[in-house]
Amino acid sequence: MKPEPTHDDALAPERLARLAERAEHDPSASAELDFLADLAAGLELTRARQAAPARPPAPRFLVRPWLPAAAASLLFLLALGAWLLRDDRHTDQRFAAREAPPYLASELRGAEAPSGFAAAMEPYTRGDWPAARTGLEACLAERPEHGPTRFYLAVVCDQLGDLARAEELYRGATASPDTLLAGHARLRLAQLLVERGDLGGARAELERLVESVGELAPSARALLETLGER
Amino acid sequence: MRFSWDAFLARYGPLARLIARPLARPPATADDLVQEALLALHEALTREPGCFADEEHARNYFLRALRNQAGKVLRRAGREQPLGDELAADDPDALELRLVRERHELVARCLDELAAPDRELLTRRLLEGHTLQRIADERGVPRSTLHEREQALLAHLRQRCARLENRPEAAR
Repeated sequence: MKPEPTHDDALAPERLARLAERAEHDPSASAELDFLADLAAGLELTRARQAAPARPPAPRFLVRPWLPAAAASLLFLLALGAWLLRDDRHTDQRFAAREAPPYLASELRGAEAPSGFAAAMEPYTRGDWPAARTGLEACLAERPEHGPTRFYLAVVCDQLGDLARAEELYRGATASPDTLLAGHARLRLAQLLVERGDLGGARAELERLVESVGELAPSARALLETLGER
Repeated sequence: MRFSWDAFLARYGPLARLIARPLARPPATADDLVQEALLALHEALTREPGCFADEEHARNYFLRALRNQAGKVLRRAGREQPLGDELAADDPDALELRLVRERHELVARCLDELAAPDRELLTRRLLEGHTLQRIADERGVPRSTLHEREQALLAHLRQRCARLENRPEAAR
């Protein structure tokens, strides 16, 4: 039988959760929480360094001193060219309104996730949407019932401007009531429907969110009020 | 308040995962809970960018969202199944992240100074969520001895980090 942590087990997760609660009104608890947060992050850093394979010594005289500067200049010119030639007729405004949420990549994704999910989310964290899409489409084919895959693939399609596919995927994510991301999917679906001109559909989705009285209800209410002015 | 996601996650991500670990129930993982709390914070900041006076308030909101989310998952699990077991100096975000990373480097330096079994003890407790009892059984030592060692290590690290950061508690 697993023993219960005693009252003085300061590092038990249950105790840390209570410390986080106390930290909201107790400065000393707040300082202790920050100390433990830094300690946990420091331990992760130490562990990652120990796990990293030793780097072979860099070959000497292989890289000329001027080579990095030349490569950087070339990359800068290429980036400048790509920026000047970009097609942003309809992108910037919408991205500002519905940007991709940050993703906390971690090794903790359990057996529920498709095998390539962690790898597919790496380009997502860098904002490399085409690569993220390729990886997540493969994940969805492998595990169509995995909610996070559907949600983040919808976000990626949204960022790429493929609104039809994004809508389909957001709808799929909202259809599974047990998915933690269902509410966020519904809110984003409503915003996307506004952009596609389907104000009635957007209202219906937002009203369902307001009725849910969840954490997203205030956002849904604010958007409904905005829609009412149109 | 200007908000740096990278710095915030670098600082509070590991602790949040530790808190979430025992609260997660299949199909949700600890990461799902943390990610959900992160989305709640993102949503709050999108709705009202100036809603947090400082990082401490954002941290409180994030960890509260994590606990709330865990509560929802627990309630749902109760209904459905038994409980189972680099950087430009003029970019403020980059600067914030650099400061957090510097602090973590400093903590890592203090940790490197510890004996390997002490470091392993803290790693298992803070990153893997192992109980004192489990580690005590494996090492064949009384739980109370391990608990005293852990308390001494935490007190030492608090003082050592404070000294390296030139904070007043280092003088205590």
